Amino acid sequence: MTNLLEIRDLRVHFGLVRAVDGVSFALPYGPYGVGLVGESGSGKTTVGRAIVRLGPAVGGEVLFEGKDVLRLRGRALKEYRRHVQIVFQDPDNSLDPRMKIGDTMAEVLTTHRIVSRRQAAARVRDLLEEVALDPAFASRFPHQLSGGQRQRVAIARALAVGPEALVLDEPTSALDVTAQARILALIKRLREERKLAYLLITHNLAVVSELCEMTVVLYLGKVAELGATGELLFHPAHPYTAALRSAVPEVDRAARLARIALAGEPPSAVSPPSGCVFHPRCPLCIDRCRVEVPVLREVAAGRMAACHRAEEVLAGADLSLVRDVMPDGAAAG
Amino acid sequence: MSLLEICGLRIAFGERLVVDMDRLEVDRAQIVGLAGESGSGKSMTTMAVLGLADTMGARVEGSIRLDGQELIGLPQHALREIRGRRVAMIFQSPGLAFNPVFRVGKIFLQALELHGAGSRSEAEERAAAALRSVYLSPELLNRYPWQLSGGQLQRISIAIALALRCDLLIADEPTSALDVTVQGDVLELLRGLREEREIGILFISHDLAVVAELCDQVAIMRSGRVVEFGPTDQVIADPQDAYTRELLAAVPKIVYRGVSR
Repeated sequence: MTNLLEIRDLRVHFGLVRAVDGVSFALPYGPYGVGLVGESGSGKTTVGRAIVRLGPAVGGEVLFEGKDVLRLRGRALKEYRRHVQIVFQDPDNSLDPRMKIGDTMAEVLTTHRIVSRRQAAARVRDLLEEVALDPAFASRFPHQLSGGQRQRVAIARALAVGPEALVLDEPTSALDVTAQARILALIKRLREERKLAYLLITHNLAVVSELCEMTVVLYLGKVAELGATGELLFHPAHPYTAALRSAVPEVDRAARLARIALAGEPPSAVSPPSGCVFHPRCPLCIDRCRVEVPVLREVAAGRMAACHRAEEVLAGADLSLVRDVMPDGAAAG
Repeated sequence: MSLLEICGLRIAFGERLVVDMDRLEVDRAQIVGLAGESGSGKSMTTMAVLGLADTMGARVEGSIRLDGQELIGLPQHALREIRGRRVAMIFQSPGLAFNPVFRVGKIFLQALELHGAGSRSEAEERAAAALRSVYLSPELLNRYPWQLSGGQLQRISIAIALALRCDLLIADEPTSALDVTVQGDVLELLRGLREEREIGILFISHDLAVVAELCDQVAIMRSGRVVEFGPTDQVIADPQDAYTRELLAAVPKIVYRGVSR
């Protein structure tokens, strides 16, 4: 078996909202990083939560070493959580403000019977050292730590059960840029030391390019494109990936790309557009895109894209779009 | 004479000095970035320019001139004339900047009426024109804020500033809460304001990449002080201060090779 986790045709619906609508990809054994990128409402966090069973799935499978975890209950589910853990965006909300750091972490260790209550304190100190924190922090409260330090605690707590995989949900988005750089360096070190596999959920393509071998681009609950990160970012096969990439601000003037403006606003998942969900905003939209849903297909070696015109995009088709005078009126009306 | 001239600005809460800024200028038709991390004093500086720092319990000393007029020490009623009308501000979370129980149009017209737009029909015309200039349909005036996306609301914030014909726009992390494709739209709009309306913009951000793309000049702030100030290209290409270099190195960049081992 080559993959630690396999997500097959995952569907998560909230009433009429199809937050995740048939998403498939795999997370290989570590050390390995898969990036899950997309904008607000694309369903990336919902996918992450479904994988660790914090959110409901209405269909599909999440296979961990071949077993479907969506059906697990009770003790088996608890056992699964020793293997796959999650780190959230905002450590302020994921750490109990009334518990000392040491107690927060010891709780995980004793709940999962990793060590006895007596040995917990020593293990907590080791874990804090592993994420480059002073072991004395065990006796502090979360509010006495900086945002970056709190996120290190959250990572250490996730590592406490010795997981093979982590779901990292925007782990640096709430942090200052220098704190972010230090957390990214920490993730790089841990992946090698612990042979970790991780699913990194982020809107930041630069973070993905530094930490992930593979990238999955989501748009309105569906996979737009997936493939090897470098190839995908530098030679996108889906117009949405190209637009996303071109919108990333760059410090270095030479690295800046001509921006591909998208028409209108992101559509609603309650009433998704017909055909290709991206068609109302796509600079390459043709009649076929309005009626026929593009299937995710292999468009180059190791690259999948859901676009009728992926070959043209790969070949470098012109994606510059003449802006409508009032795109929003039309899209929102 | 610059549009905004800050000179020897010191802001303190009790004994604690949070801003100690020698000099910062914003010209007409110029975008000046104020970059730094949380707690560096960026937002307090903007509060002082708006004449709001002392209402937060801070002691403010020094000089802040708008078009030559000293703002520090002006009574609140005089500041109210300047705030909103001549100096407009847009915030990080447009969702929080709009009262959710009123339609956007009502909020918009209220701002115009408060700052002397003349008749109601003139105000409505100005509102519609301002919305068109930020690529939005005047139809949106009939919506409630929660019916609009973050990007649409941020563009409406900018439209209000436009309709008030402000001279100086303070933008405090205006794109940090927006998606990257929407951020691009807002940045483009701000560039348009600089070119077409000659508005001076003080752009607060922790994101050096955004600052690099947008701003003519940049001031790097740390612990209340400006550690480096100059033309953006020069500061980026040849940073003089160690902290500026550290900040620049920390910005994640899109690299081809991916994970380095």
